[in-house]
Amino acid sequence: MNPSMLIGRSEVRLDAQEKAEGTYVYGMDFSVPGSLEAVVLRSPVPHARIVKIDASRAESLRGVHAVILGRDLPHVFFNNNLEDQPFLARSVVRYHGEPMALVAAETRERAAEAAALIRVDFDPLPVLEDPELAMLPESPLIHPQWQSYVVDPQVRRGGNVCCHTILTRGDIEAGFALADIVVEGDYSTQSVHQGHVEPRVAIAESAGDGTITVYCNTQLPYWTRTQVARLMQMQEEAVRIVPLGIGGGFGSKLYAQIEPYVALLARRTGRPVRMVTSLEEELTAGLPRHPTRTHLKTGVMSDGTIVAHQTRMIIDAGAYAGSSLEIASIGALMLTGPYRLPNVRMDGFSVYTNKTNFGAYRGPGGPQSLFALEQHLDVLADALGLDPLELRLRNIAGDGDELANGQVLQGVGLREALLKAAAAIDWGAAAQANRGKGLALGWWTTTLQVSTVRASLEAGGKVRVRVGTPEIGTGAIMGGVPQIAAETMGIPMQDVIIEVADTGSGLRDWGSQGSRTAFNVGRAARAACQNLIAKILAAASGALGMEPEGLLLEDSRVSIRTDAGTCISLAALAATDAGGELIAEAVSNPEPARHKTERLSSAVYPAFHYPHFYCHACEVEVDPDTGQVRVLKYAAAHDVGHAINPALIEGQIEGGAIQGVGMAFMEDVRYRHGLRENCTWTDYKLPTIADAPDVESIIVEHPVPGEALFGMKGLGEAPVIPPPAALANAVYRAAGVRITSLPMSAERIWTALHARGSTEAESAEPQSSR
Amino acid sequence: MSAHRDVVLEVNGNRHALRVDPGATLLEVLRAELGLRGTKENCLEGECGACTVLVDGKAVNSCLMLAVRAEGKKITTIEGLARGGELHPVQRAFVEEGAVQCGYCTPGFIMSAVDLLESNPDPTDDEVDQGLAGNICRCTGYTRIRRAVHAAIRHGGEPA
Amino acid sequence: MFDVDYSEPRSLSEVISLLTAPDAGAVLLAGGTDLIVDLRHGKLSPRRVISLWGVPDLRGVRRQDSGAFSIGALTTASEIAEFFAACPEAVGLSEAARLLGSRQIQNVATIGGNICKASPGADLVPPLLCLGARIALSGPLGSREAKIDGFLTGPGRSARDDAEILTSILLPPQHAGSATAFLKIMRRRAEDLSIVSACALVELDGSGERILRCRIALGAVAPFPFLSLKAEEILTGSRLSTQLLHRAAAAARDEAKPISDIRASMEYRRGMIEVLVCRAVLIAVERARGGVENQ
Repeated sequence: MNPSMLIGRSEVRLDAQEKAEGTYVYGMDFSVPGSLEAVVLRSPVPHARIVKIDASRAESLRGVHAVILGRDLPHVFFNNNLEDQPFLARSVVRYHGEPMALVAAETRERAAEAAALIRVDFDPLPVLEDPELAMLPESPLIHPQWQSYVVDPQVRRGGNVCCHTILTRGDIEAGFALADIVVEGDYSTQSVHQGHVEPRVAIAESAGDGTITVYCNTQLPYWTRTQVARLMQMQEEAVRIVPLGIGGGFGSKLYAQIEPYVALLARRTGRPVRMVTSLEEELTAGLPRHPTRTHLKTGVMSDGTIVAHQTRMIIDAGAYAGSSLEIASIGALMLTGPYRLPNVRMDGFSVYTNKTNFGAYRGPGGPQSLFALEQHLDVLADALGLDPLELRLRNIAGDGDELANGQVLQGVGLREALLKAAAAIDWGAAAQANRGKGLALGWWTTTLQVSTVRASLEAGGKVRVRVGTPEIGTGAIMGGVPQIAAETMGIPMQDVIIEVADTGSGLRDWGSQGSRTAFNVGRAARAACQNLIAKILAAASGALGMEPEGLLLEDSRVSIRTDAGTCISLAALAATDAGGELIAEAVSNPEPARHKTERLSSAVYPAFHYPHFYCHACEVEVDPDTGQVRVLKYAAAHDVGHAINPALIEGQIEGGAIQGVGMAFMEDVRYRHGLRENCTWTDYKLPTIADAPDVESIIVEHPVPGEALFGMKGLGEAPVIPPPAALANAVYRAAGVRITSLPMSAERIWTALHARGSTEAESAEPQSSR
Repeated sequence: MSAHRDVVLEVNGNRHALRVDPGATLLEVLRAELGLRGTKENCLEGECGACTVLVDGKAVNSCLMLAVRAEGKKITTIEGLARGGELHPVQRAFVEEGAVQCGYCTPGFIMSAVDLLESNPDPTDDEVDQGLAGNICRCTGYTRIRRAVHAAIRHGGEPA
Repeated sequence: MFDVDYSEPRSLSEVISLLTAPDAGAVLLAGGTDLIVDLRHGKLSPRRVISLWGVPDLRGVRRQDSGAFSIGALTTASEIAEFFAACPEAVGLSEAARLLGSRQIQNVATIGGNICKASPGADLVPPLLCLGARIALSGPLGSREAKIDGFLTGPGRSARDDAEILTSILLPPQHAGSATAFLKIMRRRAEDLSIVSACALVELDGSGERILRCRIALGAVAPFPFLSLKAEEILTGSRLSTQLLHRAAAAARDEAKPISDIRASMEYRRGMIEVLVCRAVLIAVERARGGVENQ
């Protein structure tokens, strides 16, 4: 076989077999002998002062080894953009499920029994559920001491608004004055949970020398280390995070939650301590997607050119700021989309409420933005009498165009993605009764930051590639990276050993997240392998009596370029490398995208790096009697720059699309008076195979110039972003009703149809002026 | 406290004499007592299918079955599917069709697919969907799982 | 790991002794799919779990010479689904069994358990109501029979005495030209509790045009599954027409007492009652006509 053909092939990933055999070790399968089991006592109320907390009965229960309360902890907060979150509630609880105490005991049952014996007296405080109400100056403060919190001073905030991001370009009022038609609309989106099938788990051990080891299924070991070190008040180097196999994360396992707890309990008890976050806890108080409300106002010329675009997004942050600062910026970028918009104003408000601290879920801010923007553009198209596809084609950006934030695009495969997705579902063909087609497009970032990889030649001529971030399921680490390494080294993929190293290795990595893994770890792996090759050629040069420049590494051996018969195998070189010299490292930390800083204020996420472009198109059938929707066709086109492994890419597209189907039709993290309503999978419904249309993946390749390996772009998150919008647009065409809030349950559609039937008016009227 | 019971469980063709807590589920005993961790733990209420095993050839949620109830039955877990080092056709199909991403749902899905194909070697698309609707996958979107099931049908759902 | 003792008695009388022993704190174990979840959520904390699986003659479906069917209480949903799949008059029972949870649940859950759990949305009960099923119970005072209609009395409540065991279900013979159909509305396409469920039984005359007899049963829209006598009255003895069907469906809707809960609103349930009654009757009529033609 010719190894230079590996990139671009659908090679089988290295971990598939052990997973199919059931021998792959996940966090939930890992154990340390002699471990205690620990649980979290969580607040049963959404907002209250803790007047008194009495743990004496819990502490004296037989089999209980430790009880830790908020007041036992140092006065430190989680390390975050805005540091407002204690590790355990101290004097006030701000959301249903907020951790208040930790208990470690011989068994989980005993720990739970003890936790139930902790008596907490609450003094209720007003519950703020609605972020628009919470924003009002007269509303009670969820964080009375908000001014004392540590945060970048450029963040604009006040009271319950923890971040107000503004994006401006041109002159918005002048733009509206020019417009022939102005359309306004309002859309709202719900919170949905990541739904990983493996729970969150962590096991900590405290060593005699004071160091702590935490085994956990984290997506980002180095930041987990930061959080543990902060709570434990230790140097980061004294904390070792060992990543375990992960059964899905989607961002949920990105933020440290229980890792600091087990570390604390291990230190306190002197025993290893294990903690699992049950599915019910995860659904009550996890890190699900931020709910949003968006208002849009767009002015357009009669030829379809958009001249003014104003948006306001209110982001429900939940009780703590968490990642909501990023969402406000990302909202700014997503609501302006990959469109040519001369005059823009976007205001993004992240607002505290008494709900769980919403968090990072695949493409955070993305689906919320597109559900609003892409439906709004369809409404605009209708007001103009234009085909929605045509309206997009007239306004999408291309190579060399400058977007609202001032970044200039290169390698834009958006038009191709749009046209191919539309063609795949036969866009132009007339729809039958109760059927309709819809589409949605967008862009998304490839998160950058550091990745470090070490490559070494091993016995038998194999190459060990050590990385600092785990395989979370996408195939980036166990598929893409070994493929890149194998091709670089000129060896078969089976001769690559991937090792996910713990933080003690120093292989700093910004984690398996943000569509960054294959891109960044791939770059570092390529460079590390190239550095290794230099060492290999130097070592071979002696054996072969030829300068390194005259040597070639191919097919697992080094040979003289002009005399292929004179060669030495990698296996032989490895055998002679007693000192382990054939090892090399590389650090990847690409330059971020340039943007115009004057366009944005209070924006922690001002640009999308190596952006990737996509369009999803679908056809649905709505049963007008029940409101149920059947997805007949679903096509998803993604411009990935350069496809490293088509099967893995398609897997990401297919999986993301169905997560999007779930958000579109059935998933809903529901609150009532601040209390979580549906905390089991009996009442939080995810798509089953019966709910999933077959997804047609279309890979588009417009390589991007710069530091991207082979011109590739990140992909992992984007597939989950457009489905709710594309499906909503299709539902409108099929049923004649536009659903402006998610999820589009059968009941919501049926109710809209009946309202229309009785009032003989459409449920969403575009307002036009002029 | 509950008195332990002596039971003999036949798992993957091997008989195990065990002393189990009567309130222990089959899932707990498989994982903790027998060290068979291929069967996975998640929702513990029969909603996700990650814990699916075959009991007398039928797919069941092992989290909802008391271990003591499994005495006298043939229990098959994911570890018991491969024969002589060869993957079961359903396992092989999942691997080759790219139906494995994080893989946590994979053992449960494979067990359900084995039951489906052994009782219905030529299922319609609808029968495949209804037969596998008790297994949740969050990574793959199911497209490749469907392909794997069809590939397994083509190559024979029976073990080689 | 639950803190319970476990018994697997070998006879009904042994089960009854265990149930009636002082301080027994015992619950019966059939399929266990509801029981285990209740134990896990702390809804039940019994001292002892009594398995019924050691008692003989509680499983399997037998067709009697009369054309009646006797179903052992421990027959699983899967077994029921397979047995009645090709039987037009009882195919509604097969359909309900195939929509009960997932395949994994169907392989273990029993018809006796589904009845005795007495959930307002018990999926197997509407077809049993349509078929005029009778149940057999054994208890300390001996055995008795009861009609399924009236047996369930409220959410989680039935006419079963605490120490009684439901042993079998009898489906009386149906007339030729009868057929059933079962439908349910869920929040997704599979594996969910019913928002509304409906079963229709129709018996057509020789011409296949007139409804001689019909039964309309609804689930999940009242404290217990029930037969809509008003809907049945409208359709019985008549030639089917769209107008008549809608009147019957509206009558069924008005007889129901749906609530709003996490799954659906009362208004949506009312709407879906009408839709499902219409659809179930039409499917049952089609099937009955097919049966009539085959004679």
